[in-house]
Amino acid sequence: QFLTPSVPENDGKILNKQRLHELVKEVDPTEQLDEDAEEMLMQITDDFIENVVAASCELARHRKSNTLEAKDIKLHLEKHWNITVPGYSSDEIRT
Amino acid sequence: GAQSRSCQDEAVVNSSVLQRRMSEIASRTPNIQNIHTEAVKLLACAAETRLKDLVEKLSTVVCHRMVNYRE
Repeated sequence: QFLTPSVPENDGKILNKQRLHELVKEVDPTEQLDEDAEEMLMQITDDFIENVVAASCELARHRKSNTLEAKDIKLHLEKHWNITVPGYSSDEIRT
Repeated sequence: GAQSRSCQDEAVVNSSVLQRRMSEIASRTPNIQNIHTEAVKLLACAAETRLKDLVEKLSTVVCHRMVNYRE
């Protein structure tokens, strides 16, 4: 199950602006996100993705694989970002 | 068996843009030629987790600023 090239959706931005505003409302219903803050969150997300993918590719290479897999990303997320995503336990990833 | 996923159907991260971005970054690493679809889904969920964490921190900062303003 590998990727095929696809056309970007929406405005080509990494974040769905509407969902981002909904996310802010979920955290605090009284809060609003201005344009500068929105842009900054976009930039931070982009930097995060750059960091995770680059490091995870090195882990895939270390496995002598030519495929970036979820287990590479999971390992980097746990070791460097202390992020665990439910539904991606070690047992599921290893199989 | 059935797998549970924490992310909503309509994600904050645009998966097609994320996929394209991941391919760009991965192409800089020699020998990496494919990206598994599960890797894209996992990173989308992780990015959403990171964003939620940031927004929660921002909310705390905003509250602190408003307290100072009232004083």
